[in-house]
Amino acid sequence: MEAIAVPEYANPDSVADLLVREEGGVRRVIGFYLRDHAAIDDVWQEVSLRVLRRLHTLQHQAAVRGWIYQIARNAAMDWLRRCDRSIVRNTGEVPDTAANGDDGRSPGDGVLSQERISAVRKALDSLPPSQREAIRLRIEDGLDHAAIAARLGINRQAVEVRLCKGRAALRERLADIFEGNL
Amino acid sequence: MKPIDQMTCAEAEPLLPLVADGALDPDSDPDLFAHLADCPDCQRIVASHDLIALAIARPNTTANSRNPLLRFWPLAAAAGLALAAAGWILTREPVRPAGPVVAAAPAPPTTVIAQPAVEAPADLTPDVIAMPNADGSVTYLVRQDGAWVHLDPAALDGPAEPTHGSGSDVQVRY
Repeated sequence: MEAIAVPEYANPDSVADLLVREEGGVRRVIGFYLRDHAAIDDVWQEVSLRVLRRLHTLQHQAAVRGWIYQIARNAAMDWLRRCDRSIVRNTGEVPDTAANGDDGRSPGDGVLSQERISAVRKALDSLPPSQREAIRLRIEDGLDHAAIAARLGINRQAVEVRLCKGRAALRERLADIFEGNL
Repeated sequence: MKPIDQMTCAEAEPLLPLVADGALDPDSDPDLFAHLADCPDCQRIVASHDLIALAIARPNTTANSRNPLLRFWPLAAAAGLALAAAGWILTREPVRPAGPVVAAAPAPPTTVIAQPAVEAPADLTPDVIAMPNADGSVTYLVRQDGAWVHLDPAALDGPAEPTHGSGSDVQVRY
């Protein structure tokens, strides 16, 4: 077993205490992504496992809460991606409506509905071409900032500015749709 | 040293798109992530960015899936290619009369009987001439290397017949 970088968490009891202490906050973060309580339970379990497996990589105890927040966010997004792939693979369709969650919606519903997809694509199309191209290369093509810079013939800082402005503009235009239900 | 939880929402918000982008992480900006761990408002904004990105990344399959013609376009394309290939195969050789296909059969015996007295126009050059004989049989001449050679129909499995007409007219099939 690898050494724990932060000695405070060398004791399993202290790790258990950490998880108990952070559970409420982690569940709140997951709840911004998922609505279904069973799905939130699943993701919380996944977060606990990731914390246990990766705690040895933590360098500073003071950063542990931000570190756990990032793990929770990544786990929730991973869950949604798996859900998305499964639905598309099994049905070939994006579900317009689904009703198997606690509040009458599937865990991925609300995020993955066709209405939201259409709204996002419309908002993306309305961005200035320079921002739209940068976002498409980043999100759709998965290119990193250096690759985008090379593709567009600009420097990395310009890429980050375009991505930052584009994402902020998208969020502002879609706030009613996305943050209204979060 | 500045406490890591001192960052305000006003300071954090401009950085949140970069958090969603993955350009910032807890190692590169521990102050920001310490703020994020405690601030539901900023968590909500990051989640919004994340969900928008997820929607952008999602394959746009619905439009195709609802149109059966588009949904099964790979099958339709394959069928089209198969038909095109079949058409090409059927039209690249003249259809022989009914009978077993002669594949890789030895060339029928031929005899050079004449050089053409008059060359046919280049765009109307016949390759086979069928000449009815008095006894009802047909003599076939085939153009080979500029000379007309006699083709023995008996060497073929199936009876060869002129395509048109009868009597003394020489029928030419183009």
